[in-house]
Amino acid sequence: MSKTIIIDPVTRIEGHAKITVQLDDDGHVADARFHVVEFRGFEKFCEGRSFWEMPGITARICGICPVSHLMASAKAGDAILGVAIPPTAAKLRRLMNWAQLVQSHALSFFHLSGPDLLMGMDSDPAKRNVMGLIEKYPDVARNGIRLRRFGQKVISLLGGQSIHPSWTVPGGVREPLSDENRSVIRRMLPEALDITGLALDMLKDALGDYRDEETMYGNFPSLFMGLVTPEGGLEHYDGMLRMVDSDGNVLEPGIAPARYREIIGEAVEPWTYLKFPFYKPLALRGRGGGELPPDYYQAGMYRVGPLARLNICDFAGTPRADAELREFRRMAPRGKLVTNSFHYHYARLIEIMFCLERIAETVEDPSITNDRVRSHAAVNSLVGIGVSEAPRGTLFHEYHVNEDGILQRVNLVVATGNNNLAMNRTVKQIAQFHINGHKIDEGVLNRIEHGIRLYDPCLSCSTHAVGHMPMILELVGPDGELLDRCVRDA
Amino acid sequence: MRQNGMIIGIGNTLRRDDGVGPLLAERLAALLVARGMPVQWLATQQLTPDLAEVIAEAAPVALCFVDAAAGGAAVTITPVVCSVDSATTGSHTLGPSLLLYLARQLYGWSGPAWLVQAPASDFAHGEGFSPTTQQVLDQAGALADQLNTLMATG
Repeated sequence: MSKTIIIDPVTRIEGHAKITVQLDDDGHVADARFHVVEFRGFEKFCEGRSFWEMPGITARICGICPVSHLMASAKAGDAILGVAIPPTAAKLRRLMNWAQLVQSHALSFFHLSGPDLLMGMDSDPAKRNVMGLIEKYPDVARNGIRLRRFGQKVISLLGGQSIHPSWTVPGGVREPLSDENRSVIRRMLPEALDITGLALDMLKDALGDYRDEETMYGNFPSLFMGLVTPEGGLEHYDGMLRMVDSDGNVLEPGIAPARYREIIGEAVEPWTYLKFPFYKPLALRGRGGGELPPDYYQAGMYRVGPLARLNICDFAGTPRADAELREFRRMAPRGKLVTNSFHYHYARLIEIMFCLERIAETVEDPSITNDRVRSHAAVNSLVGIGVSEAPRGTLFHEYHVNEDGILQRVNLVVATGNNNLAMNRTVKQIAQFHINGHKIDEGVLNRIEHGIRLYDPCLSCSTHAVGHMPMILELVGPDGELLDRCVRDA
Repeated sequence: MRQNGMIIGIGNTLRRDDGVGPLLAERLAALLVARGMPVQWLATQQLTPDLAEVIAEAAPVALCFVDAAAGGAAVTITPVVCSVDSATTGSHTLGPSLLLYLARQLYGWSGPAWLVQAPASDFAHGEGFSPTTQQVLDQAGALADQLNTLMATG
């Protein structure tokens, strides 16, 4: 008789979710599903609004990564206006986007995943949280706060506030960077770089303790997608979309982001609000024109975010990040990609280093305080697509407007959604490794949660949803009987 | 010379009554300054760990959180006890007691703190307040008098 396990809520992620694990007749894990159980409907209620409002509206999707939505939305607005924004405005947007990556990655690494990494997956759950971290490793906790605050401060200096700054607009940005604020950023950088260097050393020292996790926390072949510069460098704001497989074969060397629909499809399932984006050419290969099987899209699974970005780029483009990237790539066989999702943590830290180095370069650019930061125009295109790299991965905003700029249709493909297939695969892999029988314990619960947390999912963004994130784990038999259930409140 | 106090208003100003925290915090700060207490105030949609460092750097003699509370008929002022609140240890946001814990454990700040909760019932999109919540704002002067005494005496 098969059984199902349900984990509900999933903790230390943003949003609401639960996990079910289906057992077969022999008590082995047959399948696992990551259910996102919240819904907000931004795509629908934005219809009828002006595209000028969209950066401000879509930034409200999330309090953790509003800047990412600001970037993609403003870029979609640029496309509707049909303008090239002033070079200084593009640099300032990049500056804010790098700061956003720093603050978000710092939160994920130090405070959401840090307790598991430093205190051990099997440590006392009552202590394995940010409070336990503070008691045992106060310096690490302080460094996390400090690094996150650096990112928040840069965002605030540019945009006037750290959460939901209404600074990025179609055509550019509202305000230039003052000399005084540039100096403030300069002064904060050395400490941020030191903290990041220390964190990288700490993580690399600890990797030897996590060989099991490296082996089965999302260790499978998949595609990887993200933006790269025209030269193939690490990119977070603009550039071209690249898709690479685990063997290093480049399937899409550099497609214009506005053509994303040519390669990305979106599937839905009745058991989750989170869509399943997939790589169409692979999912549809050899299918002909006949009816597709229900799971056809799973062949198009890809991963996005820090791990994907480091996998698809040819180089980072800054000295310390490039040195770290070379070391990172030595974890995979020559020519292959790093396929273990456990290394999202490592990739996150390398990206922080990269962003800090880029910020350091950019604040020394003499043109960065130029006051020409906005292009003005009316509606020149009825479709605008804006794509940027959010901390969790590639973010797409697609707007269709009428001649007055009123939205007729909106499509958002959000970073966390891009990882949906991979998150489900990761949950199944961990469950298969750790669950054998009809009972679940705290250790299994935490390992499955950590598997999800690797992707640092933001469900508020990806379902455009409200609230925070609890978790249920349910164990269900083949006949649907509930065998065991673990519930954890947010 | 009296020492600084600090007021943190919590809430979303675009969700009607939820915006009472930031607005009341601003109003109380102005009233307390007028009563001779230097007060620094800030507004936030949610409490985050980095605020522990902000509090420690400001080193206020006393701290006051101002937030909306669903239900209830009258404004309340309660002391905040520094503690590990297990309900908020796992997410991106903190409660006042946990923020105090962070400020003490990581930065050594351990002053007294109070939580002002204004009754709230309407959390729809938009600005403006329900009559009960508006009444709290209108009577901020009396609230400032109470806080002036509490924050000055610890």
